[in-house]
Amino acid sequence: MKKLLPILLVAISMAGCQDDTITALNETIFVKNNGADMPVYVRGNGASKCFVILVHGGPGGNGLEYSNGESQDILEEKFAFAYWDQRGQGMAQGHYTQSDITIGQMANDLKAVVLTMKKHYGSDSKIFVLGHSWGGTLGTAFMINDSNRVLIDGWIEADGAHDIPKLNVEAIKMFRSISAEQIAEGNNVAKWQEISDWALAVDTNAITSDEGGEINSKAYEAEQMLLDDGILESGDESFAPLTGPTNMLTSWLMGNYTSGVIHDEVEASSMTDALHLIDVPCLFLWGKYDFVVPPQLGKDGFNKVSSADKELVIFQYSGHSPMVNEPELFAAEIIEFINRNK
Amino acid sequence: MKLILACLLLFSALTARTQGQTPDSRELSYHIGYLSNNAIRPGVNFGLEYGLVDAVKLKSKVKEGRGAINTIRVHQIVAATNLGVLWHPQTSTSLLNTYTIEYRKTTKRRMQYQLGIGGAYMRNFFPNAYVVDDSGEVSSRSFGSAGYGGITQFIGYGRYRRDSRALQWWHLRIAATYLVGYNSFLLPYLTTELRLGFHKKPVQ
Repeated sequence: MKKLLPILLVAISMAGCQDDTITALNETIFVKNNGADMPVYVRGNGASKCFVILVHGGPGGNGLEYSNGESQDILEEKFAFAYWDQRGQGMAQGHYTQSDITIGQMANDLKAVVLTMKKHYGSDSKIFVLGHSWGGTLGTAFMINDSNRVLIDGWIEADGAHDIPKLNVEAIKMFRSISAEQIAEGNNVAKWQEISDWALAVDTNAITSDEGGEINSKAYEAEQMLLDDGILESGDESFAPLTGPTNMLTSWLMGNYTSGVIHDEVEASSMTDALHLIDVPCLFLWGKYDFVVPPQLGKDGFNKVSSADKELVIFQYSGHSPMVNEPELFAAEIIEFINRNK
Repeated sequence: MKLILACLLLFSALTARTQGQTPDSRELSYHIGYLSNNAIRPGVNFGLEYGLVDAVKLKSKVKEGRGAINTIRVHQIVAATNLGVLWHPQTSTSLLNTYTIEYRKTTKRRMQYQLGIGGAYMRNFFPNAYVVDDSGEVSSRSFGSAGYGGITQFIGYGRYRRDSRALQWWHLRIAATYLVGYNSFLLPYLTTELRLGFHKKPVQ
């Protein structure tokens, strides 16, 4: 009996722990819209009645890529997060044609997700949209539509690519200036010189689609050098377990296919001139050393939206993913923004 | 005449011997097994198969002091139908139905190698499904689903169990099912499988 007592106590305490997590959501909703069946994995504090729809990057990523990590652990304690797999990505499936793979259709899918969240969790639920990288392109396409904007309580753009032609020009400027700084400081001189020479040779008045792809790959290369030199915080990048709902092979194949179909439209997408239409509370979160989507785009967003409540935060030790480089600060900014606007 | 009689006796002896050593064609057998998609989504499998054609090759060697050693190789064409269920607690449940034609070779050590091709149909069922129409109206669907046709192909390896009264064979298989129109794409859906085959009637 003496041996059984500790086991019983542990069992009782575990049952007690379960009571605390009754409000912790962990469910999957499928949204069918214009031929696509898209999973939305809802995790976190459902009792808050605040739902953040995470619009993943790519095109070609998946929602649950963002669910692991320190920032999400903090955020899911406060609010519920809806990790949505976009049309043709992650574990989304369905029957439609290639002509249905457009930015406009995907923005319409986001609207369908928002409406479904309201239907499933109640119309009194507060809905925020957080778009990262390509999710910023898609999120902005959603936000500049009058009938979409009224559905949500706040828009968070994290290193979002709402203007790809401008992004390419700003990235080249950044490669030139940061490489000069790093060479002067004696960091990775040979590699930075190589990047500098390449950036100086690019004609910013006529950046081609191929050069756009090269800018993207050089951006990650430059970020890695800054990480190696300790200029960026290494952060906590953790990966979704292989046993999770996302089948990585399916996700990778579908993501590449969808990305290929939509590539030309994405490369030409420019929404800076429409940002003034956005009048809901906005939070712009950017890494200072984001070569993929330079901070100038965040500054443009902040300056051009018409919102009365707007804020721009530049993370000093981050690159393209401040949620990885500076997770605590990233989470703190979002918590403050949502609490202010819920 | 004596030579012919001796040959006939040898042939009948070998034929009698092979009946216990080779898989029986023209027999309906069933199999159950474990099925998984990329080893992530677990599932179960059930199916039936029937041998359509078989060719038995016999070899007999006489070794001094050991008598005659008979070896048998069997080539078969097998038709099969299969229904698998794949499941994951946080995403869809899938039914995978296949109809295949398979070439199967049984070696002298009763190992079985197989490859095949056929048609497939997969239907995925979604929990908590909602449909949003053009006007933005959202309605709940208790059984949301999507189905895909396709072609399946597989390779496998296993062992035939001679004279077994219950488990006739076991096979390990890798299959790729190409789902047509999945997100307007041709998606290769990979499955691994352990099949356990049983006689419809136990060996007498």
